[in-house]
Amino acid sequence: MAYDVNIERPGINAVIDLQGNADAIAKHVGAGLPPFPGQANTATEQDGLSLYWIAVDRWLLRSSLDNEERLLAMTRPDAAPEAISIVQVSDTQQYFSITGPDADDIISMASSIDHHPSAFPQNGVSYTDIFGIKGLLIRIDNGFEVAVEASFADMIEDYLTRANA
Amino acid sequence: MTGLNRIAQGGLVDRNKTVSFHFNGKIYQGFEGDSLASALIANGVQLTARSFKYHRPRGIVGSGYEEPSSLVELVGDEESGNQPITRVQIRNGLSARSVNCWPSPDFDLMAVNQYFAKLLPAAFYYKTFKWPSWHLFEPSIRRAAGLASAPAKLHHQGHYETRNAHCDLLVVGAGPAGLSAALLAASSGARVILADDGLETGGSLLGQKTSIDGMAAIDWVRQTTAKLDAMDNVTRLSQATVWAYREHNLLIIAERAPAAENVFQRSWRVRAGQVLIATGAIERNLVFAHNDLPGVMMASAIQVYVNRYAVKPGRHAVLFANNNSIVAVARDLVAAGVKIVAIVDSRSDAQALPEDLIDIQYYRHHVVQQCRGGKRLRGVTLRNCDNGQTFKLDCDLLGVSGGWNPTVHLYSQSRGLLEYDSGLATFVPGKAVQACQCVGSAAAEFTLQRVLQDAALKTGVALSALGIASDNASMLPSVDAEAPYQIEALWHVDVAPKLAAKSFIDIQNDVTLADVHLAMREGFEAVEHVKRYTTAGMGIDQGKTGNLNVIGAIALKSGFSPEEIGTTTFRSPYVPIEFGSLCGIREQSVFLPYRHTPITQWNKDNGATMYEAGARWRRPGYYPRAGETFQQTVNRESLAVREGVAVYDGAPLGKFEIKGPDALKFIEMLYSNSFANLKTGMGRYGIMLSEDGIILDDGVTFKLAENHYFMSTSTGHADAVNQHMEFFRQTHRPDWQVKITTVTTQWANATICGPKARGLMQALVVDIDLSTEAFPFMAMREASVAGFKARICRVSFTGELSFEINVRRRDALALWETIMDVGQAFDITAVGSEANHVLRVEKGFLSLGHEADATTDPYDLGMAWIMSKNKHDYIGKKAVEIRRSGKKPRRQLVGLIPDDPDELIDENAPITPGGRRESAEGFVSACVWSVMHKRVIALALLVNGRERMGEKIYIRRNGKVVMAEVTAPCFHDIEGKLLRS
Repeated sequence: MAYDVNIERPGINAVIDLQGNADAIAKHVGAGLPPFPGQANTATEQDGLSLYWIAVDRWLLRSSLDNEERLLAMTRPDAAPEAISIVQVSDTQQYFSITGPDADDIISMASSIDHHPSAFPQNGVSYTDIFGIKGLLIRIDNGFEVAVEASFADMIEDYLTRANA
Repeated sequence: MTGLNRIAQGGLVDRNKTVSFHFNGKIYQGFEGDSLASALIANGVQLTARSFKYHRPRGIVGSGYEEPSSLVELVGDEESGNQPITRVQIRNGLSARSVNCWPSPDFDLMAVNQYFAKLLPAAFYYKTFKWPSWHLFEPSIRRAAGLASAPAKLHHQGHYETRNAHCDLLVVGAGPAGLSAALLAASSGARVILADDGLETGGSLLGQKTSIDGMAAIDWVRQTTAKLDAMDNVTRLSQATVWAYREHNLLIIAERAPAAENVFQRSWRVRAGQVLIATGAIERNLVFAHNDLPGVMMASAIQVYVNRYAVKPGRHAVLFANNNSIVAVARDLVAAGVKIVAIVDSRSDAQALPEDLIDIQYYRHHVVQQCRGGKRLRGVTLRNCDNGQTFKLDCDLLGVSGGWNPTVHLYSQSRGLLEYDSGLATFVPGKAVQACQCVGSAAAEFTLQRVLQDAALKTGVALSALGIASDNASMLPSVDAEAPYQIEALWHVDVAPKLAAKSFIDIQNDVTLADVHLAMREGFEAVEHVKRYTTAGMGIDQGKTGNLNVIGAIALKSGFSPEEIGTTTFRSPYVPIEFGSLCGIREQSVFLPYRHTPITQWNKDNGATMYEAGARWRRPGYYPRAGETFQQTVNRESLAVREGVAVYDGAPLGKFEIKGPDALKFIEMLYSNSFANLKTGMGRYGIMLSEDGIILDDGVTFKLAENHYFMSTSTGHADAVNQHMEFFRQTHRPDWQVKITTVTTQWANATICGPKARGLMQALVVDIDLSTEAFPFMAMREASVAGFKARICRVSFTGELSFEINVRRRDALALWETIMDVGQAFDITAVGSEANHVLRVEKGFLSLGHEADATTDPYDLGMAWIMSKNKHDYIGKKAVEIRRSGKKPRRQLVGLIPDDPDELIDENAPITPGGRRESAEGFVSACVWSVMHKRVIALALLVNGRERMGEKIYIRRNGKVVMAEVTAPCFHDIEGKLLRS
């Protein structure tokens, strides 16, 4: 192994795509929603839920898969007002974790994003290129998580294996 | 002591570590830290190469990447070709050989070329060997010229790696300017990357005897380097060449010896806030007769060999220059015990030599007219520029200096402008375009004091631009005062035409002064034309020591100034780069992107032949059974759909949820037909046009609720549709409230199709009424299928009764296996893309890339009904109207029944009038063996095709002509009863 990292493919998470006005979303979802991040491309957390600000008027609400029913009950996609969009996208994303002292090295191969702590802080989360495809980069303790479109997961695993060969 | 030319003391080599290596089959020894060039000089080897075209004897000329003369081929574990001999580090076991000579540079059979030099001037191959064919001679000429062969295979251990990096400041070069700039910037808190192509930092200081801050320069270098290495905000790359400068301050670095295990070479793509180009300067050659003999070297290179490697390239030296940088060289040679026979200075106003060199014979306003010798230098002929008198001196080493060129390659690549400085007789950096500055010698500062001052000043400018405060004055190193750089241009020594043909202006490509003059006589006067006519400035070294002399020679001949002549383009790479370092880990299985469905592994396990079928999805083409031919497999699968029941993996279909108060308006703009009266729970087929009225995609969109839709697109165009929608939404209608969510992989899809499909669905246990009345064609229902929550769509691409079962991706494999298990009772068959293709051709359903070929609109395909007459506008409407207003004949979709029922016709085979070799009037878009008709059928796009039903047309195919009858483009269930059943 070229680098001191631990690469894992833990599987899918419960993920809900939220689009629309933040106040309207907050009003529809209610108190269980983590506070909206104050800065684009950052995350907030509350009670095991993470809220990622990924684009203009767009967030991802994430939790572990065993929380999925709770998320769906809380967000009520089918009952959402016409002006906001709430869509279950859990199966669209495959997550990988890259942790360890050399996690930066692997990410620098995967992505062109500036992931230095001064540019990509502790609560950083951003869409970027991951080995040539669109992917979500999330900073976690001792490393990063990467979420890619699920159909590319085998290819990304292939890449990560090669990166650390 | 290793070698007879090794100086007893000094140098930066490790005398405690002896290294043995092979060169041209002989064993030599050197010290660790030696380059192959220095080690060979130490061993008295002067003849190291043969020239590119004439196979003239050649030796070592430079000390770095600028080396124009001696290239070697490494053999064994690190097999590679065309390495400058000066850039190869010796190590135990190294084996190298000269390129372009056989059997050796000392006795090269191709040296006979020298005697035919008159027949081989520049561009001779454009004028000779015309009869009977150039190609008859080309292989022999290419074998006689050229460089090393490409390695037959990879020998090295490990892999290439490509990575990205960002920094506030990228400093290119770790010489005095680069080191001091990096230290100042890093001490100010900037994120700094310092990249240097050397084995160790120091740059020009490694080859000079000078002091900085009261200590030996090498000690200052090591101390500064240690400080940088201790800083967390500094990334220092050694043996790393910055070889390309792209837009947006993106620079690319090749790191040749990264520390990581298994990583052979690493390519860095660095995005820098500011760039300091501290790449130093390159000494120019001087052009006179026989200036290519072994023993003629760049003066600065001699200095490097003496000081850094402690070797003497010769014992009796003459130095020839047009500038005063030769003084320091002379001083170091004297200190090393080399006898200086004379210093020859071409300048008319040259000052006397300094006091300590006063004993050296000094010829002012003299030039070296020619060198004497065979396989090595024996002496020179000097000419007095005032009276023309000539005389001879004996020597075995000639150091030449034609002045200094700032190394502006990267700066020029950044699109920074260059200006000619007549006082310095070179091109210097002008106005910058990107956030970069040349610094030190790269900015034409040629004394150490000015180099360091310039570095401090420009680092401060860069930091200021980054918003970082700095105190550049307090960190300015102190050095001894030096005489300012003085030069008088000498582009070439005037010699008779016969000697001009032996005056090499580009040593690597065997281009002479006479060649440049010949090019100009033949009308190739612009510098770029001269370059292409003569090949001057091409090759491995890219003319680093000779290009400006070419410009000067053109200027002298044409009467224009060098500024008016201009430079050739400084292209990347600055040095040769291995393809592998560009590719990085993207090779073999990940060379092209690929996507898998949840069923991919099942498909592989069950023998499917997999390949890409659009948008990088690897899908099953067909599932062959033992003993079956391809056609037998496809027929079996197609018949299963027509007569029984089958299932295929439809997961890759593009899927989007579209929602918002303006969702209907949005869809009405996207599709050519109307969705206004679509009822909830129903879907509608639609065609999406591009802005220019060409079919972009076709698909089915279902209404989930008011202003809430589920759009299904083709597999191959799902990404294009997504971009099309987002572009329109974000740029044309940013005020519309529409939200788009891609759910292609949220929903996997198993499509059950065939006359027995409903029976199988019922057997799977579905909790809704599946009857035609309750669940009609084009309807969508949410239901439980075998316990899985699903969206079932009644659409069909095969023309048969079909149920598309969409489930969460995580449930797809379990559902699939259940279908196959329950389906056994129905003799279910998994089918691939090939069978689908047959079935859709039988039905005449369009396929993107076949019938919708980026020229067709719906009218061409007989789908006028889908172009709404009621909608005021939709994307592509106007373009179609304008195009059709000319009423020019159009290719229209037709069916074909070939005369030969058994012979398949290639897709894209042209249809021509009478089968003649004329402009095509159409082409075959698809051709299959029809399982329903037991013969070959085809679809085609044919000019005015719908008016030509029953007509015979002619298809050109592999040199012969086949005939077919034009028919309607539907061969099965024309009324569509089956798919609605």
